[in-house]
Amino acid sequence: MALAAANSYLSILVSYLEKMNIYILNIRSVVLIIPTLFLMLNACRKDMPELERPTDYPGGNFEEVFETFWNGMNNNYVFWDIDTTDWDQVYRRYQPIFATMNINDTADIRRSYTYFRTMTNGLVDSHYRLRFRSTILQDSATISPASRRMQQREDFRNPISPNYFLNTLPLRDLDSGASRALVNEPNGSQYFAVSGTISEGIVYLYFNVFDLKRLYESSAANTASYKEVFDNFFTRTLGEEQPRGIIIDVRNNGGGNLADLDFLLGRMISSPLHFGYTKSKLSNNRLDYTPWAPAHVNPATDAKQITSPIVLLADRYSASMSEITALAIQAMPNGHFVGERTWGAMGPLTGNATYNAGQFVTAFMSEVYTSSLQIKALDDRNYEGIGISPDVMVTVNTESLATGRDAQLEAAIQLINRQ
Amino acid sequence: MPKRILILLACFFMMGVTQSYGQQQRYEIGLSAGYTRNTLTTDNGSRSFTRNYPLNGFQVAIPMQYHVNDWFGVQLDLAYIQKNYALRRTGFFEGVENEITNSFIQAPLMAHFSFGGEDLRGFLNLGGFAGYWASSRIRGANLDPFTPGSGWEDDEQLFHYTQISGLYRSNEGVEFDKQRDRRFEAGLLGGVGMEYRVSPHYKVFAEARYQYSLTDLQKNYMINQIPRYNNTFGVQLGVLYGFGGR
Repeated sequence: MALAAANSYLSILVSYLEKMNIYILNIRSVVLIIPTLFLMLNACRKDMPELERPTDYPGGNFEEVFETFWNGMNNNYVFWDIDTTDWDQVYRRYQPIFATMNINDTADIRRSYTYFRTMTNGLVDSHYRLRFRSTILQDSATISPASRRMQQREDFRNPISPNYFLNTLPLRDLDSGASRALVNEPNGSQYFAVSGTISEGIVYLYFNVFDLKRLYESSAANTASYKEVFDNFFTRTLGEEQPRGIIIDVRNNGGGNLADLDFLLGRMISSPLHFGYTKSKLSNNRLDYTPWAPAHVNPATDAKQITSPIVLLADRYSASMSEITALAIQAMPNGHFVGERTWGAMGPLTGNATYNAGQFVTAFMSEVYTSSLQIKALDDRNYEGIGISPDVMVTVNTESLATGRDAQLEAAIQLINRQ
Repeated sequence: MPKRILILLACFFMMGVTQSYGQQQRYEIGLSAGYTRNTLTTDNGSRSFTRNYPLNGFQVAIPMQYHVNDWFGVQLDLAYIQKNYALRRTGFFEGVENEITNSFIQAPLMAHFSFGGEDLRGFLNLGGFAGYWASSRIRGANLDPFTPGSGWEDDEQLFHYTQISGLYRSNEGVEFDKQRDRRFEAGLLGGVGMEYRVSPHYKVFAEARYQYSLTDLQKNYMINQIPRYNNTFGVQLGVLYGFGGR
């Protein structure tokens, strides 16, 4: 009955279609239909956007300057899954504006600086900075959202003077026999390091930049004293007797080379130390991520397991590798972090070709400095734009430092003395 | 455009039904399994040393056919099918790779046209499919910035990035992202094959089938998004049990 009813219904429908001059095809026509169908199918798929390397666009007009930058960020920025900036809204708002601007107009070039600063103001990447090629913008500051946020803090303070770490602290707080080194390189880079002991048995180390391994292994004559600082540190740390404690001071240290994690901490552990996870990009779309990969400190061949307390001293100007070092030390059973919450620039950086994310340049911008990877801590939290919180919070008081009292260093010594 | 395609398919269906009704109908149900090879249609655009490659997989299905006459029927499958692909770095970054295994539960609905002799017949399937992206797994090796590479001596040249940085090898399930992943997939398919009746109730068949997805694997979540479409070629062997009719 049901089939009879269905047949009746279909017969009516067929005759209706026939009345509409829709031809019912026989099986031979199928041969013709197949290629026709597949031709139609292509029209059902979305077109691929045309995306070239940001460096390949000539940048002859402001519309293209904007598109190049916007797409470069769209494809190379690694924090889109945690960033609160609505990058599509940035496009909708600024693309029409840039389309009306003239790249030969000085006023428009200055306006563009303001627009680029506004559209990037909320980016969570605390390494992020923009520099421009135009001579008209040479007097404009580098755009750095994290620096701007730092300057807007109610409790803003300037960084501790480098002179404090190189001259004041070693002479005032370290036992006699401390070693210091200052390396000036032809490109203008300046590196300095200090090592010694405090309170008979606590080993202290300061360095202003993480480029330790390269300088230590360098055969250049001007790095001999730098190597000596670290030889003294390693001798005191890795000798037969465990030190009473170790203080690694990365206050005011903006970071540097990742290899230094193994170079420095890898000598103090006997098995790999898992301290976090990293991920980068697989491809162009914003959420095309690799799986999270565990991040380890790898023990050096001549490593010795340090069981005495290792205390990291860091402040709000401790960034990047300093913060990664803080994560690693916090993951150690004998590790402690004393000081202030760090800057919040956790992601390692390199050119975008390596990790399919990261830095790029355009015809208009000499640098779009941005991370290539994300790092999250063992607690599964990503501290980019937030910073690592210390185990013992002690804020820097620059007035107190000037009068000879380093509250953070004192707190580190007290922590070791209590162990 | 899809409306016209639906009308054409409806016409095929109705033609068969109306021309043959009166004869006894035949139903068939069976089991099939086979190999798939999926190619992703996408564009890695400006990404350096990054290429997509097709990957093999497998499929298992329960085909159900309703024959309205000796040359026309309707087939509905309930299938598990893998649509896999690989994303590999090339050249200097060789060694960095990710193989993505995607499992779909899908239901292809096809017009089944058959032709030839009594026992050995050829057939053509034309139709569409709708499916659900059930799971995804990623197995690969990615650069680990915290692991030193294999290194090179002072007098050696640098050939691969893995000399600089080590690789992290993983094999894990992918957690679907509500913002990114579109788990409904639909598309069109066409297949050709041969079937052989081995007894009054049983026949075996072999089919080569091509599936052409019309839905992006991602939701529209960004401007200038690069779409990803599956193109799946499959070969399968199966057996059908018939009942009803001749």
